[in-house]
Amino acid sequence: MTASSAGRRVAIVGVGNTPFRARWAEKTYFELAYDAVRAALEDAGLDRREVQSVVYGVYNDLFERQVMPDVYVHDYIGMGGRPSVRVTTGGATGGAAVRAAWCEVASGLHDVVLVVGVEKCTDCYSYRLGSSTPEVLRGILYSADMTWEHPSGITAAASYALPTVAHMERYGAPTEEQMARVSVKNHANAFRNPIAQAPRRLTVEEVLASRPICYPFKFYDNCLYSEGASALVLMGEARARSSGRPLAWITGVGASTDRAFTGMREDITAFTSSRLAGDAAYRMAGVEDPRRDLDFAELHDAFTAAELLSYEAFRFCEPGECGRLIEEGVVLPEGQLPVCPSGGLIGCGHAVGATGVMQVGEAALQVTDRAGERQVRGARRGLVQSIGGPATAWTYAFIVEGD
Amino acid sequence: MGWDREAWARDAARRMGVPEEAIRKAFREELAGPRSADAPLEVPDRIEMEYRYSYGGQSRFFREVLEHRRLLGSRCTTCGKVYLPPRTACGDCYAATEWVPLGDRGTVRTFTTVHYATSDFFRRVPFVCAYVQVDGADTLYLANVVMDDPRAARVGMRVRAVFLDDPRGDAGDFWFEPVAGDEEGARTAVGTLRDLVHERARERGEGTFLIFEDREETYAELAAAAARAGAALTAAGVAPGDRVALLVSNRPEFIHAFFGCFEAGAIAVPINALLKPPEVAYIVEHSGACSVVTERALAGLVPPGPSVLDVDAGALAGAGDRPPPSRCPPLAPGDTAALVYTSGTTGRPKGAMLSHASYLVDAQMIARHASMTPEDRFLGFLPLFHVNAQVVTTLAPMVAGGTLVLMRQFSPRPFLETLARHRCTAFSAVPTVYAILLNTPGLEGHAPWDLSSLRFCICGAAPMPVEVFRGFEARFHATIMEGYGLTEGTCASSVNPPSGLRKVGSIGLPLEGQRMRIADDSGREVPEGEVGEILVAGPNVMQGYWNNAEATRQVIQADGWLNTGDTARIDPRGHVFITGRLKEIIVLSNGEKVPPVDMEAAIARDPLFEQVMLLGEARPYLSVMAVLSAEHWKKLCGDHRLEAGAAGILQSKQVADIVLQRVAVQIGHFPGYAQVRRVALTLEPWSVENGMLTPTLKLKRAKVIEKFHAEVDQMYSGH
Repeated sequence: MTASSAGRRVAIVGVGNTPFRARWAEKTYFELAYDAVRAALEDAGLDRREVQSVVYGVYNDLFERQVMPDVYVHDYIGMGGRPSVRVTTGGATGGAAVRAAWCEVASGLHDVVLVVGVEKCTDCYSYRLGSSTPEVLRGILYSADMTWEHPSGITAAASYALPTVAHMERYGAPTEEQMARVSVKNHANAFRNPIAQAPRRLTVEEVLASRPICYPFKFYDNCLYSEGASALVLMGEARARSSGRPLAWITGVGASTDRAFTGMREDITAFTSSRLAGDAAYRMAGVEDPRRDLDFAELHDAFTAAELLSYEAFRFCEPGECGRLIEEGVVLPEGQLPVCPSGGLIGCGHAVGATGVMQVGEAALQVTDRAGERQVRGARRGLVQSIGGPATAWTYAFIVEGD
Repeated sequence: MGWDREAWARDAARRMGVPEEAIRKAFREELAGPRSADAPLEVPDRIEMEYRYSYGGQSRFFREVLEHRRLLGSRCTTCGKVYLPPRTACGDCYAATEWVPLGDRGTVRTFTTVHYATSDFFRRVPFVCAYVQVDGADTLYLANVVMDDPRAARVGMRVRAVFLDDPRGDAGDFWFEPVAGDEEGARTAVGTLRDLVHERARERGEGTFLIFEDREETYAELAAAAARAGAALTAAGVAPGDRVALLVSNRPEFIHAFFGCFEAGAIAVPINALLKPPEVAYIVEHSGACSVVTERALAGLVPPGPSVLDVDAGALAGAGDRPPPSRCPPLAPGDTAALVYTSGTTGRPKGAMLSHASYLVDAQMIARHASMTPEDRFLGFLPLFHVNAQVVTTLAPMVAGGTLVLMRQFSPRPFLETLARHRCTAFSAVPTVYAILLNTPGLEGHAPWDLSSLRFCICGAAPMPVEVFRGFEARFHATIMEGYGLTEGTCASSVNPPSGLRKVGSIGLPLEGQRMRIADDSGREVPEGEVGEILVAGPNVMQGYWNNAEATRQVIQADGWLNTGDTARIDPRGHVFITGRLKEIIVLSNGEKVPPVDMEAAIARDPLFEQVMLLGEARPYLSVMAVLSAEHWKKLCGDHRLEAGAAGILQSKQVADIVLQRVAVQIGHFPGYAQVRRVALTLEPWSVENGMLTPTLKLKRAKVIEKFHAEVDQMYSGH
């Protein structure tokens, strides 16, 4: 959890995304990956032959109905001969892929590394039921512990609802209304993001009135499953400087894990892995007071409450006070510390393997002043969180800074 | 066709490394088909369950849950931390752990509702998914807390583990229920039959539940009709816990009244419409029914006393304008839903108390076993006062969200017409019905009825002759699932699997959730393959006999096992084969049970009969074999101007008619289904010397049948 000396500085030189959509009927997962890679290479002004190594983030073999999908992406995007590794850490797959690529560059192993996150979840379609929903849910459910916890009928949303309810019980917050405000914020932010799947004008009342998924989450408290791909080009400092492109630097990397069984955690109300990963990233980047030193944060808002509880994990506020940050407008686009200006997972959709890559790329666009309508004015430094496993079992955190 | 069996056998023998002759022999046997129940085609089954309990510390944990009905944790031998779920090694100090028993109470630390539950079972039961801190454990266990109203769940709620006799795979082997009284507002539940109706009305209100003649009724209409019936009962003075007798034939009003009882919080007492007035009076009196729901044609059977609601006079629909009660009386899964009086001929039937949970669990077991879906249309014609029609044809489709196509009674041609017209997918019947259907002419070649919709049929109540079984399946292209059960077990306890290994002549495997064992007199399990009495245990076992603690004690053991009185053996694959019966009871092929001794005693009260034996096991009707008193025989002949010594006179139709009339007089008070239709007479007494009696002068029934097999065949010729 504690970062050692940070090695070489690593820059994000190219960012590429496909739009996140509910269904990409006209493209395969490797075609989606190609589109994102091509965009990232163009953004970096780089020929594909200059890439030295590729890291893939693909969460779930069941979604694509393809074991080792990285093999087929790797070939399709013309990377034959280069070393490659695929990582998969649940919802945190994208974050883990960026970290693995960062390691390759920071260590000096490679100078130019491509990170590709891709997911095409609704390829697992039940012809019998005429829907992909049960298959997708089942595919995710296999991420729950099959021996003890899966038999209780737990779902991904339920795994976050459980600490949320414990938190509500202990602190009286977040309230369902505060959660709804997060949903309203992120759905609205998505209007300014061209790749977002779910821009939507909502009122708090509409969120509260949407159908229950699992208490206390309603339909609009949850992110949507998406299909899409995101790619980044990472370079060592010297190579990056010579590219002549606007540079974003990964100055802090932190990762941590928590007990697999939520019931064995010391404190069921705290996202401990995010706390530890965030502290490590802050230390590496020299962030002392997050509220003062950060300009924005891209948090993993798979569920509204996950974003709220993360405020506390990342020390934006004291434990129990997360609801006040949204009520006081601190995390709104015009607030002191905007959270998920991209729309986050709720606004953009959650294309699992691609999500963490997209979030880091989004931070790079912000700190290089290339985020278009959603640009946070004067953004110099941002936090990215990528979480996975039952209730933040895994967290990857990054500090991304401008030149 | 183009396939060389010999070449195949040679090749297979070579590949498998066995003598060619062994392959040919196996092949011959396969072609010949299983000749007996003991030589079926074997395919693996039960793997799934064994697999689940075959790994790691989990197997020990669940064995403890199932056998000792307690939770087991593991304690670190170094730091003392107690884990649940258990671990074989401590995650902190890497030291070994030891097993420690935990209490069955705990506290909810956090919870959520799960609307996308993965288990089919839990779609039907209101529950929350919660981390529970079981008393004595340091960690929290993720489990289900089953409760009527999940919105009443809260952190800090005290719960108690409820151990299920049901290794049901993905739903766990225990759940938690709020501890009644420990916390406010938490009512425990697996749901009630009332909840089932309400839930279906909410979920698929527009779905068709019932088709009867030209009427169709949706789930919403059913719920409304039940509410009206409940309101009418309440208006008639029925209070929660009261008994309401149902003396109604097969028609929608029976179902409305049945569910109406639960709306009023009452207990239904379905009564066999074939009973005589004294028997009806006994049941009404014994159950303490305060109201009788009946119809015009049966009103004559109703004894004076209780209030009478005549469905033909609109007694249940009369409260139509009245809004249903806004608050239903409290009803818990463990409450008695119905008293079902077991068919007996002694004049003292016993009322099996069946709870809501028993009905639901048994219906769920069947629906799951037969993989029933909302597409299923169950054709029901067995009388609704029996558990078979209640559970298999009414509740199981309801659990699955399907449809019941109800008929007043069975008659082959209307049955086939209805089946074809409504594209029914299933029915449940007794062996007699299968035999009749098989013998219904006009089905060969250009059948007038399209029966292709039929998916499966359930057969129970009596053993099915193998030739009927095979003949029926071949002709109707439907799978027969033979099963076994008894009223005291809320209908079904075992059924043959719809696919995979099925053994004709076997009653199949115990249903999921049903524990079954074969035990000797002392209750000890007998070795595999040996004959003993079938004992069953599980949530479907009745609560006891109504107001008859003595009879209850005789059949339900202290640890919950129910003595069925049937004997059986279990083969190595776990299939159960019925071998006989402990009690002397004749089971007709329509499933009716007749204890012969009482009836024989009644017949023998006529001095004409010296010795009497009742027959009818697995036959469509009862017959009597009798040894006539020489003296009274002469008198009878004198009265009717017959020649007592004439050749063949005992076998003459004239004598048979006279004797049958005299039998009928003696057994007039027995139920309608227990009438004797044939007699075989002799003047030669059955004695110890000729081997017909035991030394204690009991009738050796098998010997008599053996000796008089020609007469027996004669009595049942054509059946």
